[in-house]
Amino acid sequence: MPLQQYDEFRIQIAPDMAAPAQFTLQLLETPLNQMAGPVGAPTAQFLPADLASLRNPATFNGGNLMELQRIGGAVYRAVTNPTIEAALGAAIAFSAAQQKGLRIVFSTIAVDAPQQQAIRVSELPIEVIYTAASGFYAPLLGTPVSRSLQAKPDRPTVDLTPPLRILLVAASPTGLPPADIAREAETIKAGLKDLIDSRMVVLDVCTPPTRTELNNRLRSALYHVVHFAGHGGVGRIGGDPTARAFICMEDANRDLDPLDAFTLDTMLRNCPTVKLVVVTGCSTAALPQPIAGAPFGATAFDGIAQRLVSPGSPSNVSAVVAMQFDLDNAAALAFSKSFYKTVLKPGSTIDEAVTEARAELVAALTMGSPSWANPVLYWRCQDGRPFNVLPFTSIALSPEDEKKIAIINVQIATYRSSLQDLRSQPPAVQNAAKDFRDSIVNKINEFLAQISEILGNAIRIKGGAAAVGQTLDFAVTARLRAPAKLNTVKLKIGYEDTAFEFLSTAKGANATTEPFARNAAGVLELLIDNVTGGATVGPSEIEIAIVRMRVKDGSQSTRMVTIVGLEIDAEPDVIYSKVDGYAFLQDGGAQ
Amino acid sequence: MIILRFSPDHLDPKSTTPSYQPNAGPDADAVYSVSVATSQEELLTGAATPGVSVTVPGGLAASTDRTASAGMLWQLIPPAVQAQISNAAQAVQLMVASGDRTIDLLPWELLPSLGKAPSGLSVVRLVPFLLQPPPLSVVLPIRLLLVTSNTRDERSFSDRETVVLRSCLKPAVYKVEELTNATATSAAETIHQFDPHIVHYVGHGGMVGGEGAVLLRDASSGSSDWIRAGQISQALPVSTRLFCASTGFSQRNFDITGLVSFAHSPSTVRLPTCVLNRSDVDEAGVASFWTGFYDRLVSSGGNVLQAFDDSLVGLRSPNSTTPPESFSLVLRDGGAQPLKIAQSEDPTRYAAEVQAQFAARLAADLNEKLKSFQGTELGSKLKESLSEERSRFSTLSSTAARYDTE
Repeated sequence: MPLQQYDEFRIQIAPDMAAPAQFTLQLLETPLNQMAGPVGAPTAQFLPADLASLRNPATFNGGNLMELQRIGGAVYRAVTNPTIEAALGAAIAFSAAQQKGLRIVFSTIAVDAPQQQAIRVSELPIEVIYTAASGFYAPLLGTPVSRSLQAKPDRPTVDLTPPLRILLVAASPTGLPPADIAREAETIKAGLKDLIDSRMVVLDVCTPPTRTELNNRLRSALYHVVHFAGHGGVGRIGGDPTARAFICMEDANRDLDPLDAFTLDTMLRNCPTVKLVVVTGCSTAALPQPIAGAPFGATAFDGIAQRLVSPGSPSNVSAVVAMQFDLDNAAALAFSKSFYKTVLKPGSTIDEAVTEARAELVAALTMGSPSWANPVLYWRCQDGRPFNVLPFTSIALSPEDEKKIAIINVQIATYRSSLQDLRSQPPAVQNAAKDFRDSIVNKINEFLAQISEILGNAIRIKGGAAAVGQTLDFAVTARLRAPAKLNTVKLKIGYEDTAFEFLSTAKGANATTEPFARNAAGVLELLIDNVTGGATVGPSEIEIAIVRMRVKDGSQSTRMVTIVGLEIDAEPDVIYSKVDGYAFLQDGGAQ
Repeated sequence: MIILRFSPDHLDPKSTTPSYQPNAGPDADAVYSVSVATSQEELLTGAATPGVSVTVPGGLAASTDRTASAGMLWQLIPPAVQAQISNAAQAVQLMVASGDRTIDLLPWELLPSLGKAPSGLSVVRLVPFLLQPPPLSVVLPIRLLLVTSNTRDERSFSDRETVVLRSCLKPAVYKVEELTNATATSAAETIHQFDPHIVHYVGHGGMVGGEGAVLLRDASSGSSDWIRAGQISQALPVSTRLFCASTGFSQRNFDITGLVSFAHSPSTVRLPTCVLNRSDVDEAGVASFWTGFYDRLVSSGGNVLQAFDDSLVGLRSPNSTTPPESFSLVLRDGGAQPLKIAQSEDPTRYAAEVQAQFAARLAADLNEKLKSFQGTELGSKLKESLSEERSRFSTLSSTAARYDTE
């Protein structure tokens, strides 16, 4: 699906210091700039009873669309007024005319309201806003709904070459409602399976889930995302008189070790590559209760999510996704699967990723379940993108895979050396050792296949053996680790034009079209269109083109033919590695 | 067979016993650990005895007192091995393995002159190889390439050298091709075309960057082109089973220790078994040794060790002015019997023999790589490959050996 372009509609909601329990609204950003500015109070207040209803699982057991619409309407009236409504309607229409979406951001800057009985700004379930005319906004890709603690995004986007490195922290200390953490981790892994299989994501699990181990991990590896799954809470930690939001880690005895938001924030500073935190806990998006007499400014950011993207945060986190309520396994699976997949799409924005996940939750469950409204996104990254996902360079591998490939390359080098040794022999010896040579060639091909296996999805050139003057067909193959539809494959193949003469190309055995070819100065450009004919092909290695060369020089036993450029349009849109080809050559004398 | 391996003392992890001090001279300066094995397998798998320290007297290699030198060399042999040699009822084969230039330059071939072994003592050098390939079957005549190269900037050997050597080679059993004024390129081309079983080089030796070299001719200037063992090895096919590096009698050698180091190159340099000179020779000695060697090589069916031992007999006579320790045998890839005389060609046998050699080389390479990854997860992958190649080698060797019994 093509990525959406967005205009921004940013509304600031702030407590009205002059009128306790009241909010004031200001339109900070809209594509129709003449409408920006203070716009007064919301139409209505959102009631604690409605929030309680939304948070009560019994209300929505099996889905309750009418109740969700009712609550959504109440939230909408609590964050808008007729001026905002008019501006929002005009902005949506304007953006739609420009073939853009409209990003709706609620900016709840700096301070929270001092009221103790009413709903605080950060407690407003903004994601559920609903009108009878437009329906729910948040699950629609045209109107993603998110939050910010800043008036404007201020954190830079950083380049990311997949895989996305995720540290999963799943804890279930004794004394708390038991959570099946192993299953939780497995659920997240299952959700990410395709991405892990295709090397787009590397998932490490923090074991044991102690703060010491977490700290060690954050200091020793370059993670991009920390994903916490487990319980959260609000309370006093140790002798600290101030209640704080915390996530429930385990100590060495598996007892509760509360890790408060400030400490976590400081720990994250030691891993500056972490730009995104996902918290799927029970109440981790909730704020601690304000304490009588304490200034609200000091406690407003104490919620985990808010703290990590607050203006005073020492970490480099620029987006946090946290859950407002408990997340069941089906929802967790659907969320992880969709969310990370979109995050990894080049050019995607973080609110787009969350919205895709909401849409996935709607499809997997029901619109009447508030699961899709559960994720709360806070962000402060410019362009709405914590990462600038680079479409294709070289693939980054886990240290284990790098080691595996390194040793296979040692093996290949050793076997190639043997082949070259054989190649330098007199013709009689070469002829006598033909079987040995063939077996070494097969062995090298096996090693190349192993590399291809480790790399996941790969475009590979498979060479062959030929003597000087003979033609040699190089097969271009696509190795698919998971089902995929290949639309277009465009590649540049570099070869030594002193060793080979390009002759022609032909349709691969599994391709539906002939490749287009352009050859010049040792670089052959191939364009293979509609590769799988619109069909999704299962995990396999398919031949997508043939390149025919004539061997001009046999002085070397092996020559490499390299892929120097690769662009692929495929579904799913995952990274494809390249595996270069070897040609095994003989001179005219040896048969 | 007794194999003595000398290692610089600090490199031997098995060196645990107290050192014993032989009658070393005042300038003794090199300490080695010597361990004992009875096979190459023991040597390469670490099954050799724990090393004991010995001190090699300085100047021993350069000593001109043959008796004193022989005595000092005897003192470098562990007492248990001395006893074994002295009490042996049969002739003893002593092999010295090292890889250290100081030990390689010692005249170990003097030891038989002490008469310590009642039934005889033969001394050769050993550069151990992981797998010893089967001998290559050769139907007579044996192809021998004689290589000489007089250069403009070095003392020239006379043509008499090749005349004498040719006279040692019976035309009925040796097909000789002679390459004069050899350059690196012409030597490689001739070797590739002629596919010799034996390459016999006569000329100067030298050392280049710690590696033994032979002096060939630079194609453009005619001056010396020092070609290292590693370069020569790349030009030698697996069918070349013997390399002879001899000095001439018509001139002093530029650096005869270069020939010694050439033949003692590490096992990673693919050289076949070598026969070489380690000190000066005269014409009579050359004629005596090489006539005996090449004759016996054929009559023994290709057994280099036997041919070498037997050809030294003439040099031990009181009339010989070339001492037997001028010649040395270094067993390398191919061992004591790198070739065998066959009655007829057999492509299947030949293919098995040749491929067994390649499998042995590949296994040796993998084993070499394995040293860097030993004990790691990565090492286990290399071990798998090594195991496969060992298995391939065994199969091919067995195929080749079947012809011995048929």
